[in-house]
Amino acid sequence: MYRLAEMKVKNFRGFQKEQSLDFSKADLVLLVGNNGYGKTSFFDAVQWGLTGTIKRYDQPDREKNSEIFLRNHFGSTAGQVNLQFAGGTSPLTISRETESRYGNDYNDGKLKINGESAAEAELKKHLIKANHQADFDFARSFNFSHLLSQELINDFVRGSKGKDRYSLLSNLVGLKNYQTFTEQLKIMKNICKEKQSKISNKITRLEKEEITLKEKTNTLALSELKLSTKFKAIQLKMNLSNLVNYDQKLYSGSLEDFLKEKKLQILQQQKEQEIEKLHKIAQQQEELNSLEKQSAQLPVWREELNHKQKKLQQLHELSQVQQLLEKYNFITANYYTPVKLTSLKEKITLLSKKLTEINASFDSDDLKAEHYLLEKEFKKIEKMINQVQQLKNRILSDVRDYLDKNPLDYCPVCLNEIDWTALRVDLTERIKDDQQLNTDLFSEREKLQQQLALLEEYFDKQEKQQQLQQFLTKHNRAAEMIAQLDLVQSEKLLENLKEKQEKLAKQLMEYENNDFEKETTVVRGEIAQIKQQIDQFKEKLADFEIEKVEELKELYQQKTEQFNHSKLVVNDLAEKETALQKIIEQYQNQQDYKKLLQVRDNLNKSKQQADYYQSKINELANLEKKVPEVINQLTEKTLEPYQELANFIYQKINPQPLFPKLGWERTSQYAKGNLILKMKNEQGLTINPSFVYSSAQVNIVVLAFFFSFVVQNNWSKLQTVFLDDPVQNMDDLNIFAFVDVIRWVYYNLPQPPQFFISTHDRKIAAFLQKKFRKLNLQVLEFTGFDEEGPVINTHYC
Amino acid sequence: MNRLADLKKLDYKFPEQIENLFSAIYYNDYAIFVLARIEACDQLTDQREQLENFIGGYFQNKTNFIKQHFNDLDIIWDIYLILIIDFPIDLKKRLEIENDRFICKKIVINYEPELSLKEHLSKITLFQPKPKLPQINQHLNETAFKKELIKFTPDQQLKNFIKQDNFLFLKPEEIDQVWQEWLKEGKECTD
Repeated sequence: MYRLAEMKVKNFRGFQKEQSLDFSKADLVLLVGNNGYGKTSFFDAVQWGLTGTIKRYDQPDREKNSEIFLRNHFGSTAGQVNLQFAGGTSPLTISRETESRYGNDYNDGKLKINGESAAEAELKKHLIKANHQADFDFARSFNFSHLLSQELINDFVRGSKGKDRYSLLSNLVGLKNYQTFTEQLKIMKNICKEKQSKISNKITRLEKEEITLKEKTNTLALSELKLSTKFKAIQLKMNLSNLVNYDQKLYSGSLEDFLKEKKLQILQQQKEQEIEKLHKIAQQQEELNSLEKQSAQLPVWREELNHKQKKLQQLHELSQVQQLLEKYNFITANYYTPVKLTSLKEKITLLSKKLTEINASFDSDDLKAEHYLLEKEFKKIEKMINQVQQLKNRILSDVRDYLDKNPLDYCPVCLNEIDWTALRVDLTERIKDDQQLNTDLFSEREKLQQQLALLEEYFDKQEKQQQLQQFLTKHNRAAEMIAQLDLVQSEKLLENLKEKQEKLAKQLMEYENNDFEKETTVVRGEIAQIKQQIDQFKEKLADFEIEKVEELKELYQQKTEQFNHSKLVVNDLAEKETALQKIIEQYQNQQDYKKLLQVRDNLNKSKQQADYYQSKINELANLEKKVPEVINQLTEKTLEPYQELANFIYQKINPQPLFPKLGWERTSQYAKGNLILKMKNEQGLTINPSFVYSSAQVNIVVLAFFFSFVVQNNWSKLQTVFLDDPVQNMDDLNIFAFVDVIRWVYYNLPQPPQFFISTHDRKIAAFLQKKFRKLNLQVLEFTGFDEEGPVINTHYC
Repeated sequence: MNRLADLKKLDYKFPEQIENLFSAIYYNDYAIFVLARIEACDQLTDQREQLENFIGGYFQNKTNFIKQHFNDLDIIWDIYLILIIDFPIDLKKRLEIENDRFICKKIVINYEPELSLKEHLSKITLFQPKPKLPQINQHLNETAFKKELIKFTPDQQLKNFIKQDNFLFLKPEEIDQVWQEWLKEGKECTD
């Protein structure tokens, strides 16, 4: 961030003798001096050096155009301003030299950056942060963001119109630069207009050309009138008494209409209809001829038909015989007795064999095996029962022996007296019971064996019965069938059938030799065709309402005459049509006519282009109008935070507590935006300070704005602020508050700006020196002014 | 420098009559703040006059006293008399006091029981922090501006043309070239 470190001025404004002023150690520079001692020249040098302009001389003025006023009048060389800045990444020197152009020297002079000649645009790179270089124009934004003079204060509040005020603020927030869009859109629009203008000229030329060519084609050798005459001549050559109506239509219309082919089309349609009619008649005639020829052949066809029908009858009979033969063969094969009985005997033998096999199969049946297993089990159980019985008898004898040797009167467990006699009887009884069980088992076994034998017998019988039953059923059926056949009749039938078969076989052989089937198909087809022809013939006769064939000849004669006459008419029409086509072709082939068509085509295309450009011009004009509106809208949005801070600062200085709130309103009175300053009280009552406030109060309002932009400046690399006599008209109270605001700014910003403040009032200067004593304060005391320029004493506090 | 925490309280025993005039005296490197709480309206004028006399007599006349306690003689230019009042006051009266430039700068502040005496100083400019403002990064870039602008045209060709990066730097001959191309496109459309 740059701060002004040194300024050298020579022959510029009030400065004649070179002054070199060092500010490298100053946080705040206080310029004190009487009016006319060169303070304003100092600020002019800064402003011109940095921007190439001096705001208060910016308005166009004829008087200004013939004045030399940047260069000092006592100096012999060009005015020079040299500003050196420190604090950035590298030192920066901006210098300008005045230059007289067209009799005046109010211009941006010769700019040098770091000793090298440079274009104005170069300044941007050094003084505006990279991310804002596209948005800001340093020269336009310098005032009010880095410099505040009495002229600016007055202009802002009173001098400026609302729209200028708004424009100024747009500059400060970087939106003003987007006016360039309007310029660019204007260029586009102008180019588009130029193109449209060229096309309009072309259209005018083509329209004229079209008129000329139209006239020319009307006066051609083959003009409409002449074509009409030629037409009549052709008509006279043709004897078309039947087509008088067509001719009348043809000549009553204009040639132009005729060329549009409307009448030609009608004529063509009529011709086609007529040809179609004639074709129909010719066709009918041909059909009649053909039918007449065919009628002579009818008796032959009839005879042939009868013959074929007879043949068909015979074929039908043959087919019936064939069916009978097939039936006979079937019966013989299935029901002829000698054949059938042999078959039955064979079947009986087969069944007897099967019966023997079934009996044999029962010997090895599972039942027998099961019976064997059961018996085995029985024996096993019997053995086990015997073993148990033996064991029981042995235990009984052992117990007896023991008890005989060791008699026990009492039970050793329950201590009851033992009744040995009863016990012995009981045990003996129980053994007997077991023996009974054994006996029962044996009887059961016998019963089972008996049942098994019965079962075997039963199975054997049942199977045999079933086989026998089946055999009997089949036998009965065969017997029935045999009974049905009357053997005697069958023998006769067979003989007859054999005879018939042989006969038919012979016939069949004959037919087969004659390729009968093919012949039959052909004959059938022919019969169908003949039938169809006869039907058609009958229909035709009905169509022509002819009852007899003689009438047909008469009609044929009439139609032939009619046809020949129509043929003549059509030929005439065809000739006429060809002649007309030739004439039209000739007419269209004329050079001028071709040109006319080309001109018309060009004209249409040009008109389309002109319309296209017009639509673009309209769109561009619309967008051009919208540019300031968009700037306006965005400015309002962007300014909002500045308003808040301005209000905060204003309340600190607070010269008019009746209306403590400062604000502004954007109106759409002008497309470029209109800013109206508003002061509000607690009750919402508003006043416009431009018309109500005193100069001092206005000073405070503008200072509040200014400080809000200084505090929130985030686009500039220059961190120096110039206040030219800000306390002018202020009373002590205001000055006191103003000082506090500057101190507040100083202590609240991480990188406070370097201030240059001027005043003509020495008392105020003394007061400010006391107040800013804690800052690095440098005082430039303008003690006098002569031909050499201001006399400046510098000291630090 | 602008923090209340950096303020020091003057530790000096004044005569009892003077002690009763103010509530506390705070100071930092560049200013002295004499705080007086006034509870009744009828005391305001007398007490204010007495306080002015006290400031004039003690702070602006007794060089040794200033040297001894503040190390900076010029601090007498930065003495603030803060009148903390515990009663309603009309605007006229307030302005009369605050606009009076005799002896020192006078500021009238309404007493607020929830604030300590020192905290009442937060109401004067010097001790007010910078308000929390929305981030000023709204300098809209070219793209954003274009986006807003092209909303006003339905013409896609124009939209695309404006959106291109170097739109603002196109020369007339380049624009002319674009027109030629557009016309071709337009012709194709009409065909």
